[in-house]
Amino acid sequence: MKKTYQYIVLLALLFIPIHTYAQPPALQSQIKVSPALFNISLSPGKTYTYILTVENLQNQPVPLRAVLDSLATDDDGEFDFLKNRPSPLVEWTTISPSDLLIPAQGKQEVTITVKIPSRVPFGGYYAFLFLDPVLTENQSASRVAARIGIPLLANIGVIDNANKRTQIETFEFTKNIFENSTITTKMSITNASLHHYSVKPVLFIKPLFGKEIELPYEEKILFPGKGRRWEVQHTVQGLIPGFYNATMRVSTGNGNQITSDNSFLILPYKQVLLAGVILSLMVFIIVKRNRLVKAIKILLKTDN
Amino acid sequence: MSKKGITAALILFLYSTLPVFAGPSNGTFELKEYGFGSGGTEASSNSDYSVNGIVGEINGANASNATYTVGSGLIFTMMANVPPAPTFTNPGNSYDRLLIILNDGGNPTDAQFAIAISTDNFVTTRYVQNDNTIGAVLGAEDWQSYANWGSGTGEFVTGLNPSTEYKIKVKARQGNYTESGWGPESTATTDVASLTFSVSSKTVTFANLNSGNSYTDTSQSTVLTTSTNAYNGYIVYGRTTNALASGANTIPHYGSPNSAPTTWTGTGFGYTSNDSSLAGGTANRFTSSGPKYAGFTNSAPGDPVADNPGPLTSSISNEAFTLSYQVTADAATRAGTYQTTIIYVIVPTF
Repeated sequence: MKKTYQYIVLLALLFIPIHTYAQPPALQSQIKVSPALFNISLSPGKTYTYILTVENLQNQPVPLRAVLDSLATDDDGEFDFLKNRPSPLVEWTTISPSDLLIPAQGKQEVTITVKIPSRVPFGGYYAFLFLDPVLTENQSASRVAARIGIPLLANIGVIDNANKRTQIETFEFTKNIFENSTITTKMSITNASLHHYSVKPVLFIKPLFGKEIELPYEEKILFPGKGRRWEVQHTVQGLIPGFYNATMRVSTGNGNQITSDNSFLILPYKQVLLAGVILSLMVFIIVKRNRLVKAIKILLKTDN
Repeated sequence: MSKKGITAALILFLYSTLPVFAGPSNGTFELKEYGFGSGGTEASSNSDYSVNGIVGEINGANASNATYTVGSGLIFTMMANVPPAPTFTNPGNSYDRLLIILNDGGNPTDAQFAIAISTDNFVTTRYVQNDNTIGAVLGAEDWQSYANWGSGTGEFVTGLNPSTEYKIKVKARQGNYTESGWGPESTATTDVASLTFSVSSKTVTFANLNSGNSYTDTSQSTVLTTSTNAYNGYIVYGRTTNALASGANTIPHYGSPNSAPTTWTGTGFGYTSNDSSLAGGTANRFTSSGPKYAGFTNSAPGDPVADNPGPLTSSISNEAFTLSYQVTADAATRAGTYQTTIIYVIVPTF
C-alpha cells in the first residue's frame, strides 16, 4: 500500500507544469548613440564642444574606437563613400577619448571639439564620426562587426534666407492624362548656395470646382551645389474625372517658399471609349431599326 | 416790494442757481447732457460698410480673474473667442518637430488662428508660418483657419532644435477688429536624435562542408535590429574585408551583385536580405520570387542590405531584418578553415 502511494506521488509530480520560455536571439552587440546626427552652425575663429553619448545595452563590456572620416554626397545629395575627398572638418575636429571601453549596461561620453580657423571660407562642411568595434582574433569562425556612422553637418557663416538659392529644376507628372486617381509626380530641387538646409515640399491639387487637396512630401536636406529628387505616387481620395491645377510649394525654412505650377487631367478614357461604342451602337440600332427588322426577317426567311 | 423789485430778485435767484444744472466739466469742456439709453440694438450693413449696435456699455475697467477676462466696449464684444490652450505634444519622440492640435474655442469655421512659439517663455516670440516652419514675422498668410491648421489631427511644426522646451499660444480673429488676445500656453519638448543598432551574433560558423551536405550550408544568418527617431530613417551597408579565405585558398563571393541578386546557382559565399523595400535598385529584388542571393563586396562602405527610408513621424523600435548566408564550395576546394570579416555599417539618412 505504501509503495502504491509512493508511485502515485511520483506520478503526480510528472503532471506539475514546468514553465518554459522562448528565448529571443541573444544580441551580441547593441549600441545606442545620441545624438545620432549633429546639424550645427559654426563661426570662424571659435571653438565648439559637443557631447556624444554612447550606451552599451548588453551584459558584457564593449571596446569601441571612434574615428573621423569624410562625408561626401553625390549629385543627388545621397551618400557617396567612394568620393573620399579629405574634409577640412576632419582636420578641425578632435575626439576624446577615441578608444572606449564601455561597461556592461553602461554609457560613456565622447567629447567632440571643433576648432574653426579664423580665416575660413563660409559654407557647408561635412564629416562622419564612426564607432568601430575592436575585433578580437578568432581563428575558427567568420566575424561579424557592427559599425555606426554619425554625420556631422556643419554650416559656417550665417545662412541668409534671402540668399538661399533654391530652385525647382523639374516638377512634372509622369502623364498628362491619368486614367484614375493614382498619379505620379517627379520633382528635383537644387541648392546653388554655400550652405545646407532642409526643404519641405507640399503638393497642392486644385480642381476647377471644389476643395484644394494638400499632399506633403518627405523633407530632405539640400547640400550646397547639389540637388535632391522626389518621385512619388499618390492615390488621392476624392479625385474625380476632370482638370486639375497643381502647385508644388517648397518650404526652405523661416516661412520662405518657392513654387512651381503644372496641371493634369483625369479621364478614364478606356471606359469613356467603351461607353461611346455602346452608345453609338444603341443609336445605330434605334435609327436603323426598320432596316434591321427587315434584314432579320429576310435572314429568317432564307433560313426557312 | 414793487413789481420791478420782485423781477430783479427772481433774475438774481435764477442766475445764482444756474451752475447747479451744469454737467460735469473741466477747464475746457463741459458735458451738457448725459444719461443711459437703450442704444442701438441692430447691425445694418451693405457690401461695403456695416454699422453695429450695442445695448449700453459696461464699466470701463476689465473684470478678470486668473481664467477669464471681461472687456468693455463694442470692440471687445466683436472679438473672436480666445482659443483655449492647444494640444502640443511630441508623439514620435522627434528631435526637430512637434505636433500642434488647435482648440478652436467655439469660433466659427471662417475664423483664423495665429500661433506664437518661444523657447524662452516669450521673451523672444516667433511665429509658426503657414508652411509650419518658424519665422520672426507674423504675416497675413500665417493666419490660417482651423481646417488649414490640420483640424483635429493637427500639424507638425518643423525645423526645431533638439532637446529644447517650446511654448506655444494661439490667438484668433474673424474679420477686422476682431483679433482676440493670446490664449493660454502649452509646452512640449523635442528629444535628442538617437540610434540603436545591434547584430545578433559576433561570429558566423558554417557546418563542415563535405559531400554529405553537397558542400553547402544555408543555416546561418545575422539579424540586424535598429531603433531610431531619425526622421529620414537609416540605411545599413554590408561588406566583407575579403573573400572566405584559408591561407592562399579562397571560396569566392557569389557572382550576382547587390543590384541584381539571383536564385542560387553554382558555388560561392553570398547573402540574401528579407528587406522587401531596399534602396539601391528594385526594392524587392531579394524577396520577389526569392530568396535571391548576392555576393558581398570588399569595398567600403559596402552595399545596402537593410533600410528604412522614412519619413518617420513616430520612432521605430527594434526593427529587425535578417541577412541569411549561403556558402557552397566546389568539391575540389582544399580542406581548411575559411574565414572573413563581415562589416555592417549603419548611418542615419537625411
